[in-house]
Amino acid sequence: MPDTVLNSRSPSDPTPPDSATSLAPGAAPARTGGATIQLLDVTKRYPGQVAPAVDHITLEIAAGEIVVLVGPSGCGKTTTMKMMNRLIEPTSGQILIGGTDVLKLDADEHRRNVGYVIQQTGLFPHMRIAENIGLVPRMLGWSKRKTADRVEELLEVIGLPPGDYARRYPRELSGGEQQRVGVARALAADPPVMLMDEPFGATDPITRDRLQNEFLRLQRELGKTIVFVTHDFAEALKMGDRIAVLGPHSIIEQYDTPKAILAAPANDYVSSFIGSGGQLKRLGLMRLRDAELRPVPAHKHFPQITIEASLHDALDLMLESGQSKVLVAADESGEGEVFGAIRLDDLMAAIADEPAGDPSDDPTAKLDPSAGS
Amino acid sequence: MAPASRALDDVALDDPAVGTQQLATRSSGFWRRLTGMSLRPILLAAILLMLYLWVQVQTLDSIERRVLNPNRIRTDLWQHVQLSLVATALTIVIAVPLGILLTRPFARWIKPIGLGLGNFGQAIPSIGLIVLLALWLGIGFGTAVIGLVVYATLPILRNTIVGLDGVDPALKEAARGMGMSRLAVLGRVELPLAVPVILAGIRTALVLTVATATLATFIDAGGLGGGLVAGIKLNRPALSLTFGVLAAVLALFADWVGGIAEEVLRPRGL
Repeated sequence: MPDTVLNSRSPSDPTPPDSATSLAPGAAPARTGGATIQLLDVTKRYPGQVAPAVDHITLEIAAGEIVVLVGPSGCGKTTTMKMMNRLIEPTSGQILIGGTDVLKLDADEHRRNVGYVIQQTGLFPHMRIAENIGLVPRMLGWSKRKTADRVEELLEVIGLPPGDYARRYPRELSGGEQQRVGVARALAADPPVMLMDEPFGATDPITRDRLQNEFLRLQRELGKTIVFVTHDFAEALKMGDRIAVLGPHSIIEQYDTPKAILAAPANDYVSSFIGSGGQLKRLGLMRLRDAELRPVPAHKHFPQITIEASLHDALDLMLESGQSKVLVAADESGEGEVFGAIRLDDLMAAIADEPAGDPSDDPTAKLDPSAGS
Repeated sequence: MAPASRALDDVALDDPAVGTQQLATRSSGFWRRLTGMSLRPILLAAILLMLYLWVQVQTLDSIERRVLNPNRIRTDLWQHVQLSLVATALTIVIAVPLGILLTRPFARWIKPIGLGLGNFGQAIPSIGLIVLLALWLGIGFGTAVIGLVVYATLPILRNTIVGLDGVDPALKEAARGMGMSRLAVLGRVELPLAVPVILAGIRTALVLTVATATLATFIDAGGLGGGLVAGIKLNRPALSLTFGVLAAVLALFADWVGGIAEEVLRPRGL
């Protein structure tokens, strides 16, 4: 039960990361949590273009949530995000972060207080890893000593031993490692808000999956407010506490939790974005841990599945084994404690019963929804 | 290949793990290029030696003896070097900032004009340019330098523009997104990444200047062109050959120095 273990760790737990290849949590003291982000009637109109790139968007993002802006390319999702750190200046409207009107701040200083991660890492090839990570703290006037300590700490957090990595150049790192450094660099000055523009888009599927999991684990500790842009709906389901499905001109077609969007797509546009297998994807978001299990049957000749798996995994096992019932156990070995059983009709009932958009949804209860696609 | 293996050892000590392979490859390439470059001065020295021996076996008349004496050659050589260095330094001071200016977003519209002027400067025959300038500004060192600067601006200007335009826009945006001011983005990201291309332009300009500085003699600004022209006018091929070879060796030497500078000043990690 790795998740529970991680969650129970105190944020200041000094335990060093135990794995050299993962975003090992536990070493990063969460100093600054998230801040709310409010877009109020924000419009971006480029000169010479009739239609606005972003048309009167109003969006409120709660502190500590990951909100995914998802939509086809050219829909204005990246423009919407870049207005939050003022890489693009809105034509009209208000943007509040933590209640402060960011359009009234000095743009450069504002950007130093917002983490920014882009596709292809954006690491500066002529600077060593330590320099790359230390850039923002140095700009904020941190001392060399303090910056160096922070860099070391962050390298530990992302599982790259500082002794090995601090003095390397980006090209001497693998793509996945570079992307981790990109995340570390955005976290360096401990900003309350992070903007991530398809951060894992350029990595291979296996690396991407690992980076996503590591990032979710890290976020569970840090509790930053994260705006995450992607065109990949499976990634949106996996990463988002909430998803904003955007249509052309960045119009919000639906803004809700992944489960709610899958259960009740607001319109045909959203349905088309979900694609086929929407119900399977919903099963992928439900965990056996949260399901009501039947008592353990007298005969234990049924296949076993771990309680950490999703209902989708259970269905998969039923189809694979040809049984309409599987046992839910502590692990798959058959040795561990059996908690109960679940049947095919239970799965159907779960889909039918689950209220759409239940506000009490545990946003951290996410499993791999891509299994359904 | 002693230097190469030493470089490999250094690297291995520095970076024990994954990246070592790549860096080692680059590093050995670096040393191989430098080793290749060490051949150049040896070759040039050999040419000079041959020239010296050849002059020694010639029977020189009084005119030839007067020009081909060590003091005269030293003075001409020094003047030539001065002309070239001052002109190149001035060109750098003018063309690099101009290139930076022309790549700023607000100046994009004048970029074609700037490049056009540079092209114009290089397209006019250099001898005509220098003579015309002398008619206007009078003869002497200063005029010669101005002519050389006009002539050599284009390669540096063009390479500065190409180098800066070649910086990945995503990197510039990442830098802006992190809160760097425009000036900081230029100084810490754009210029360092453009350095290899700008240096290549400077190297070209330097060689061009050394070669063109032979024309300075026409407006009484000295240099190795004097002996060369005297040889032609007085029908003394030994003079033309000697000064011509000296000018060529100097240009090749300047090119070699430029090559070393490119290797040494290129930011690591690229």
